[in-house]
Amino acid sequence: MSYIVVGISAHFHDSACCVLRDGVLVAAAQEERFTRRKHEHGIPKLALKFCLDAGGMSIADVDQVAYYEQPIKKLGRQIWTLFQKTPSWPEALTRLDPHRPGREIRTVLGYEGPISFVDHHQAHAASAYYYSGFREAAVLTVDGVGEWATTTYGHGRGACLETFESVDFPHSLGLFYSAITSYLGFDVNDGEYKVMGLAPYGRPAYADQVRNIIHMGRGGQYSLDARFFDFLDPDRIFTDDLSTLFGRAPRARGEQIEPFHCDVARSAQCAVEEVLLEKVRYLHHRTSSPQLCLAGGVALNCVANGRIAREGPFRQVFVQPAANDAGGCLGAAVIAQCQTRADLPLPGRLDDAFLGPRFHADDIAALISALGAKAHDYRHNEHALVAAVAERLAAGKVIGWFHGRMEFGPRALGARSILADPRLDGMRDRINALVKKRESFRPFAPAVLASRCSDHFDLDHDSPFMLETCQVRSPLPLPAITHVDNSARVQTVDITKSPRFGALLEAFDRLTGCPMLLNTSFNLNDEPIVCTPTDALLCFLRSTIDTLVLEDFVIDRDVLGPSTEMLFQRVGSMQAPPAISHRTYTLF
Amino acid sequence: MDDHVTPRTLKRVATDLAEFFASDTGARQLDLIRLMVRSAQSTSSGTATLRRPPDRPRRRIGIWEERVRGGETIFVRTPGVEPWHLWADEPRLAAKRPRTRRVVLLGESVARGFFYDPVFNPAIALRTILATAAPAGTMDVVDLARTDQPIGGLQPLLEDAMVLGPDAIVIFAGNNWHPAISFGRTEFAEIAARVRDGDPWHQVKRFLESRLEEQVRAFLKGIAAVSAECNVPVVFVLPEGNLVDWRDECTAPLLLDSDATERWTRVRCEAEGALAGGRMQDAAALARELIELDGLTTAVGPSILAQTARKEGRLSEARDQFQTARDTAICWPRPDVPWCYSVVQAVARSDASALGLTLVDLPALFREYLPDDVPGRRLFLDYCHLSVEGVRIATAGIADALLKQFGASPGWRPLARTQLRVAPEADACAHLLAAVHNATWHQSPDVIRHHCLAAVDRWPPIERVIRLFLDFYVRRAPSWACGSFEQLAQLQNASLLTHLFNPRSLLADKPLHIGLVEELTAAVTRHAPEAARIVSELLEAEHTVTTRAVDLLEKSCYLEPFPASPDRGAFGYVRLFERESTFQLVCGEPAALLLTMVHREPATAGVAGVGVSINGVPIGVVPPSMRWRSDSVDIQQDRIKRGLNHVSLSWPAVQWSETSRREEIARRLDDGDVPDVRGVYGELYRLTATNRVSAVRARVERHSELAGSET
Repeated sequence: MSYIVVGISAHFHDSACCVLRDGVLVAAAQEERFTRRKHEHGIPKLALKFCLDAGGMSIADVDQVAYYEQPIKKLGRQIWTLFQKTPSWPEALTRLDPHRPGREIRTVLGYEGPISFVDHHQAHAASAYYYSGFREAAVLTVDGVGEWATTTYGHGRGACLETFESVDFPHSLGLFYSAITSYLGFDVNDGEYKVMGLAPYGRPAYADQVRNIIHMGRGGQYSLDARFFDFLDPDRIFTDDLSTLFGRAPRARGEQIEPFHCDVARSAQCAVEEVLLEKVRYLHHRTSSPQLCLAGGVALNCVANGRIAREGPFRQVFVQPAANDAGGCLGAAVIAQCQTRADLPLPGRLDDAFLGPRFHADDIAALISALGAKAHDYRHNEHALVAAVAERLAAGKVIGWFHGRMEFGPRALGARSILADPRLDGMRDRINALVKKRESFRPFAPAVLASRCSDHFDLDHDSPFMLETCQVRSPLPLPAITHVDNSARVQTVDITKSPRFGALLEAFDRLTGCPMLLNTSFNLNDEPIVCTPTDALLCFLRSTIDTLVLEDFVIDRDVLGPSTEMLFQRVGSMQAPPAISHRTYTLF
Repeated sequence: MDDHVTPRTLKRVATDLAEFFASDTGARQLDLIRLMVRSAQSTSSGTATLRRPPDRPRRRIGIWEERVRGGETIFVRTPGVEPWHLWADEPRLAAKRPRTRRVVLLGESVARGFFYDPVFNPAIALRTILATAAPAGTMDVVDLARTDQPIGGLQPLLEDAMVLGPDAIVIFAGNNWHPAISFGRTEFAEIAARVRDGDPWHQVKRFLESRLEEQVRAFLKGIAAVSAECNVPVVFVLPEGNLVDWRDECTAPLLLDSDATERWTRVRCEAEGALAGGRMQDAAALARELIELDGLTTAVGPSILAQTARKEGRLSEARDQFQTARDTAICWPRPDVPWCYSVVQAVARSDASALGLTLVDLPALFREYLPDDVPGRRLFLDYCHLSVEGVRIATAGIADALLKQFGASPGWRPLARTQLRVAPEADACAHLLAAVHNATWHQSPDVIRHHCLAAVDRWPPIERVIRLFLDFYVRRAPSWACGSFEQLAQLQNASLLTHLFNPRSLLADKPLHIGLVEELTAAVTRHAPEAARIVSELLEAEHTVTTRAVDLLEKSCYLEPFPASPDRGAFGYVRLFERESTFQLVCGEPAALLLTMVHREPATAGVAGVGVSINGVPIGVVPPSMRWRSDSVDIQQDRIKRGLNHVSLSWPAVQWSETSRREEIARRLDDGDVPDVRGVYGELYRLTATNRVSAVRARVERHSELAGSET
C-alpha cells in the first residue's frame, strides 16, 4: 500500500500542489495554469485533481495533506502588523481567518484525513534541500514574509534539516524589493522580474539612498527602516517617505520609463545582491558546507543567484525551479512525510521540472481535425518533425512549442515555450511587441545544449532551470538573448532529460552552427503559461507566432484563413461583463 | 503606570491573541468582528444610491459619444466603452429633426429583440407601427435598449438620453430585477442570520420580495422625478413572461430537513405521475401537499396546479398558478432566469399612475389579446424574449400609449394589424437560437422540437446553418477552435454573429444536449437525408467510450439539473442534490465497460447502498460510505447499446444534521458566497467509464511511465 502525501501552497499568490507517493514526486502544478488567472491564490482544487489523476489516484487514497504555512502563527504576525497602524484596522480585519486553510482543505478539496501545517520558511527550505540531491548543504530562504520569518539560515544533514537563525518581519529583503517594484509602477508579486530586467539599463546612482533603507546587521541579520514601508497597504507597500528619499513621485502604471527609474532599479538590485552575498558568506562561515540550497521568492532573482554562484563561497548552488511560494508545497509535503513516515525514502535530486499534465496525440489530432486547418502530421516520425521545426527557426520563424509534461515553476523549459533564432537583430523587439505584447526592455533567455554551453557563456556548471545569469562570451552575435549588460539567463539542456527539445537544438545547430535558441514562456503578457493544447492554440491564434508545434503536429500560420485570425482577435479581446445574464445566455 | 509597550511585548500579545482567535470561542468572536466590519463597510448598490456617472470631457449615451459634425451634435459609437453587441447596431445617433416627435426606447434584452436583433427588434417594430398612424417622417425612435441592462443602469441612461431631446421615453424593463443582484454584505448577513435562527426558506423569500419592492418603488420614483424635471413623459412597459411553456423547476426543495425533503421528493414523483396519467384531482391534491411542504419556494406545486387547471379549462386559475410558479424563482439566492415577478408588477400597477408615469401592462394586454389561453410559445421564444407576434402586440400597446400622449390613438388592436416584415432567414435563425437556448436550460423536448421545426419551416436553407452548428456543437473541441464555427461566422448572419461571439459561451466548456442534437438532426434530415448518419458518426468519433476513458462528470456527460447549482465549480468534487443522478454516455460498438467511482454519502441514513443502473436496468449496488470510497462496477456488453446510454446512480436515504448544515450555509453567506441551500445526497470525486480492454492497457502504460520517471 503506497503512502500518499499532498503538499499545498495557497491563499496568498501562486497556489500550487504536489503529490508524493512513497517519497517519489509524482506530479506538481500551479493552479493558475488551470483557472487561467495569473498568480491564482485560491485553494488548488484543479491542480490537485490533475496531480492525483496523473498518479492514478484519487482523494480517497491520500494519507496526509501538508499546508505550506502555520495559519495561527501567521495570524499573530497579522495582528501585530495591525497594532502598528490603527486606522487600517477595519479593512484588514476582514482578511483575518486562521481557519480558512483547514476549512477549505476539508470542504473545497473534500479531504478527510490528517492535515499538517508546516512553517512557511521550513517549507521553502525543504523544497530546496530535499530535492537538491545533496547529502549535506547550507540552506538559505529569502522571501517577502511567511508567518514571522522573512529570511532563514539552516543546515541540512541527511534527513535532518534545521534552521538556526532567522530575520523576522517587518525586516524583509523580499518586501523591500516589492516596495521598489511598486514605486516603479509595476504590480507587487508580479513585476519584480521587470525591475530585475530594468536594472542593467541604469546606474547605481541611488545606492546611498538605498543604504538608508536597508541596514546590515550582525550575523544573518539586517533591518529595514520602517519609515519607508506601509505593509497594510498591499497594493502600494511604500510610504511617501520613499518618494522623498528618491526625490521623485512614484511612477504611475503605464507611464514612460525614464533613466531615473532604471537607476532606482539598478540601485535596489545592487543592494539585494550585496546583502545576499554578505549573508551567504555568513551562512558558509556557520555551516562550512560546500553546497548551498536557495529558496523563497527572492531566489528567483537570477542575477543575484549568478553572483552568489560566481562570487560566493559555495562550490555548488541548487535553486529549485519553483523557488517562490508555488514550490512551498514540495517542501511541506516532504516535511510531513518525514514527520509521519521516516522510513520512506526522501525525494532525491529534482533533475527536471516536467511535473505537469501531458496530452495524448489522439486528443490533439481531434482538436486539429475540428479546426479544419492543414497541419503536418509527424506522428511516429520525430526526426522529421525536429528537422521541419529547425528549418523554420533557421528561416527566422517564431515557434510555439508544446511538448510533453508542463513545467512546474515560472520558467518555460522546453515543454511550453516560444522559440526563435537568437542571432537575429530585431527578434527581441518583435517577440516583445507582437508576440508577447509586453514591455520592450524585457530580455529573453537562451536554451543551449549543455555540452556546448561553455563555448558561448561564462558558465561552468549546469543551469537546467534558467535561474542564474552569466556573461555571454560567444563568437556568435546573439542580440536576441544578450541583455544590455552582456548577460544572459541561461538554460542548459541535457538531451538525456529533454530528448526532443535537445534534438531540436542539435538540428538547429547543424543548420546554423548555433547550438541554442531563444526560449521564452508560451503565453501572452499577463496570462499564465499555456497548459492544454487548447490554451496553446488560442495563444497562437491571438499572437503573431508563425508556427505552432502541438506535440507531433505542426500548424503554420499561413494556412489559416484571414477570417480565422480576425475571429480570434475578437475572441481574445472579449471580457465577460458581470450582469444578470452571467448564467443565463449560454447559447453555444 | 508606564504606557510604553516594547515590540517584544507586542509580539507576545499578538501571538496570544492569535491563539485565542484560533480557539473555538475565539473563532466565533473573530467571525463577529469581521461581520461588524463588513456591515459597516457595506453599502447596498440598489436604486436608493443611484448616481449620475462622473462628468466626462464628452457627453456619452451608452456606447455613443458626443461629436459635432457640420454644426450638428450627434453621438457616435465609441470603442472601449463596453461590448457593442449588447446595444443597438447603430453607428450614430442623429440629431433630432425639426417637426419630428422623438421617442427614446430604453430597456433590457426583451426590448433589444433578443434572438432577432439587429435584423428585427421592438424599436424597428415601433417605428413601423407609428409610421402607419402618423404622417411620414414625423416620428423617430432612438433605440437605447441594452441586453443585460441592470435596474441601476436605467436612471443614469434616462438622464443621459435627455440630451437627445425626446418627446417621450419608453422604458421596457423589469425582467432583470432581482434583489440579490445589488446585495452587499449586509443583506447576505441578514439572510445568514435567518438561516442560523432556523427560519424556513419561505421567510427568506419574503425578505427578498420586500427588498425588491423597495428597489422598484425607489426606481419608479427616480424616473418619475427625471420625467417631471425634464418635462418628458415616460411610458413604462411592464413585461410578461412565458407562463405556459417555461419550467423553472427544482429537483429538490430548499433548506428542508431530511424527512421533509424525502417526503417532498416522494410526493413530487406521485404528483407528476398523477398528472401524466390524467388523474387531475390526485395531482392537484398532491401539488397542494408540495406547497405545504416547501412554502412556495419551488415551482413544482403551483406548476402542477396550473397545468391541471389549464387542462380542465379553468384559465384564470391556471394563469394565477403559473404566475405563482414563476414567482418562486426569486427564492434562489441569485437569479437563473430573468422574470418580471408579481411583486414588481404590483408596485408598478399601484405607483405608476400616481407618479405620472404611463403604464403599458403587457400581462393585461396579452390577456386581452389571447382571452382563451395563457401566454406561451406563440408569444415567447424562451422565458421572456418575444416572438415576432409577441413583439407586434407589445409594440402596438406601446404605440397606442405614445399616440395617446401625442394626441389620439386608434387603439392597440388596429395598430397590431400592422404588417411587420421579418425576413424568413431571420425568423428561422431566431427559432434555431431559441431551440439551443431552451435545450441549454433543460426545457421540454416538445418545446425544443417546436423551435427546430419552426426554423426549418420558415426558411429551409437554414439546414446548412444547422449542420454547421451540429458539427461544432458535437465536437469536444471548443466552438471557436472548430472550422465549422468559422464557416458559420463567415455567413455574416447578424443575429447569429451576435450570439456566436458571446464570450461567456465561447470560452466555457460546452454542454452536450443529445436531445437537441436529435431534434436538430431530425429537422434537417427532412431536407438532407445523409445528416443523421454524419451526426451519428461524429458523435461516436468524438464521445465514444469504446476508445477512450470518459469522465462522466464532464459537462458533456453530466447535464446538471435545472436550475444550476450556485456551487458549481466551487468544490474539487461534484455534489449531487437529487435522489437520482443521471449521466449520458455515448458508445460505439457495444463493449464490456468498467465504471469506476470515488464517492461518499456524508449523511447516509442507513445501510442501503448506491444503486447503479444503465439504461434503466439495475446493474449493481455499491456500499454507502460517509468517507471517500473507491468502487468499480462491471457493465456487461449486452447492457450497452450503440449510441446514447444513460448511467444512473440512486442515492440512499439521508439524515442531515440541520445545525451544521445551516451553519455551513450561514458561514458562506457571511463570506459573501452564494451557497446551494438544498441538501446533498451524494458526492463524486470521480466517475469514469472505460472500455475494459483499454482500462487494462492504460494501467500498464501508466505503470511503465511512472516506473520510467522514478528511475
